[in-house]
Amino acid sequence: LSFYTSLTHQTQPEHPKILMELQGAAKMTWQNYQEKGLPERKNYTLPCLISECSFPRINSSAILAYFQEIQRVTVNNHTIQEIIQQLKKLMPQGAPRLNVTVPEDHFEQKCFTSAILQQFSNCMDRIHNAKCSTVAKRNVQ
Amino acid sequence: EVLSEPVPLTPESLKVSINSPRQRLNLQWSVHNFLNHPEQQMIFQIEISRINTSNIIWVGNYSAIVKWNQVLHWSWESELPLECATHFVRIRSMMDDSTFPKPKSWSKWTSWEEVDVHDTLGHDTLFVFPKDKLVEEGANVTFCYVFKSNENNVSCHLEGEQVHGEQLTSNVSAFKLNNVPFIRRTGTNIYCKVNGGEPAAGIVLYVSKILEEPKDFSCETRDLKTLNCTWDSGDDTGLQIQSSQSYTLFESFSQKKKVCKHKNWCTWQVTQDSQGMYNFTLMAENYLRKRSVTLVFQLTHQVHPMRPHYFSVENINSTNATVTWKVHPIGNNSTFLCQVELHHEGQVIQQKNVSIKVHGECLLSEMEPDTHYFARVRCAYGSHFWKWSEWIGQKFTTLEAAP
Amino acid sequence: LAALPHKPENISCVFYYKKNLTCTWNPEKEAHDTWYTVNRTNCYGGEHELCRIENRASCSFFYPNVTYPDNCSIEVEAENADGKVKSDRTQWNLDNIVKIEPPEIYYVKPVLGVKRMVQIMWRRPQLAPRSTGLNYTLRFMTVNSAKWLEVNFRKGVYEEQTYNLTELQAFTEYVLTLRCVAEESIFWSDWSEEKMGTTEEEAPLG
Repeated sequence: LSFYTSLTHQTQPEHPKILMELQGAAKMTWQNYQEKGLPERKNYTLPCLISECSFPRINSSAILAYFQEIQRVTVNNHTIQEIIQQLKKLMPQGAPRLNVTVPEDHFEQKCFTSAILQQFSNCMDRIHNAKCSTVAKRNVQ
Repeated sequence: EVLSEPVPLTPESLKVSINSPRQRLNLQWSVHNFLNHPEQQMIFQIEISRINTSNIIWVGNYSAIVKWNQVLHWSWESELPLECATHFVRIRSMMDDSTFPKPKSWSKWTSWEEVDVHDTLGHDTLFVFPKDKLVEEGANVTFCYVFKSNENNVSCHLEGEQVHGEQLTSNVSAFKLNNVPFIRRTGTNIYCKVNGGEPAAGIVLYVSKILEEPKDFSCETRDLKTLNCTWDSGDDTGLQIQSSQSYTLFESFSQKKKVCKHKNWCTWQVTQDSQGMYNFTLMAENYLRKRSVTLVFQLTHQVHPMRPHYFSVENINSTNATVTWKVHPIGNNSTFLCQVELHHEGQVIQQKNVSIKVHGECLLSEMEPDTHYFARVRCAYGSHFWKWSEWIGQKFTTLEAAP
Repeated sequence: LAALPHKPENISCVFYYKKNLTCTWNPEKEAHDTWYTVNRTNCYGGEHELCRIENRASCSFFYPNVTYPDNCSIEVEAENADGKVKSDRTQWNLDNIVKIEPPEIYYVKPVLGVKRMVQIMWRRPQLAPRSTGLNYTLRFMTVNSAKWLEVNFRKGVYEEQTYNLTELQAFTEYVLTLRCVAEESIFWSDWSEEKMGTTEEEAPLG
């Protein structure tokens, strides 16, 4: 799981496990949320990683802010609540809280939520399948 | 005394305001220069046109008794969202009082009052209306797009499938959806986009299941202290923007009311001073509709006794045994009709009815020695049968016969 | 004479992955009405959660308030009309107490040309920690036997979920069942549904 450890730049042994749980929850949340008739939106983006490939670190505090706002406009979604719980575990102490505003318009809210959930799921898949290092796979077996 | 032809009184100070979510035009006006009558029966004729004054889409009359200098109010619901087109309203009046001879004549029309929201739309270029409308399944809904450019290459999609509408003006098209179905609690997705252009604009149409009348509404008591009412609530009509339907019990004799916490059952405390007869109305309610059912009953006719207890099989010998049990007393001095069954190899071989107060006893005889049996008992309220209690029973084996 | 409740002891917790964390304690029953408050603190984020129950020595914290991985501290307070008593604080690493669902056997079938062997394929329990290898116990016996035989093995997260059971009798029908446990946990899953499979026929010797 050393690759995952580098991802979180943390020494906590549990972080790689958290990331794998996050990947599962992200995929399930995105699959459960998909609705027909929502156009793709390019104007809503999620700052998922702090720096790409060389030493990618998951931007947990930013992602957490997005998901806490999404939770506010979704009704009792358990997997979103799990993602929030897992992100809190990755949060560095005293991390600044990002300000995120969800569109007021219901249709835009859906487009926003759909875009963010899809990007987060893709981001976690990219991390999981990262070509940067196959160490993760060997260690996990 | 019949008066001469009345002077037609043109309505004045006509003002029209918009209630956009409800797609309603609210009118208010007044009528001056009254003859010396404190109040007058009048008819007002209202014309509504859309897009331009010559395109009249609605005409209707409104009768009212008008007091001196009174401000009158009236409203009209549009099937088309009011943001989709400019509307114009005018009104005229006629005396409708028997003291004046026919034929009567209309006053002059007021001038057209224009109602236009386009300038309040904001700086985007493409809009879709109505926003977040809530309707019941099966309703007909009209939506439109407003595109601040005269090119006409906008396409609209309902749940991802393209739909076609009617062009109202160069930059507005309307789409009629008939008999809209419930799709999901988070609403139906509708969006329009400029082909090859910027992000789409869209709306969520919230289609709610139709609130059903509660079925199988029934109340019973197990102890004459608490009434347990149950019903089949049918579909849940809750949506992301509308909580599920609520249920309220109202008892007309006592005029008491209780909001129920659960969607298909509710308890009601029987008070000492309460009457024997009950007339319950169960009211189901959501944002769009109310449904109710009533139930009238005598409390003692709805007694469903609790399962008897302390059941035991005693004095077992090779052919006989005695079963004893107790019932939970209900009220004071109540009697119970109890039914005792003896089973052998899954078959009921004996059945006896016993009337008791609290303690029950029944002799089972003519059984086979050294044989396995099963005995059970249930009870019903003696003064009026409503339901049997649940069974309570026990296996036993008769003794071997003496040689 | 005040009769305080007994001090809650022998606290035991089981974590049903993505369902709930259920803790039980002794005594199971008290003479008088007793209210229990179980205080759970997450290792991460230090979040608290209380679970209250009356006259029962068991309480559950539900998903998604409890998520894997975590290291929770549990303290049980018993209260009756005469006063309160607190248990010792106990620590629970979810890795060690996670109980997962049984695996689902897809098939049990011989491999063409390989005698006295069947291959078992199963589906890894969906509700199991994604980063944990699983230890398995495979139980098998011939259909007319009454004595189970067992074999144990481990499967990593990405390993194929198959196992070749060898040294069997030729052309014989076997019944098999499988259970698993997260590699650091003490709680095995229940046994899977039983599946049948028959080994290949074998030409008579000589």
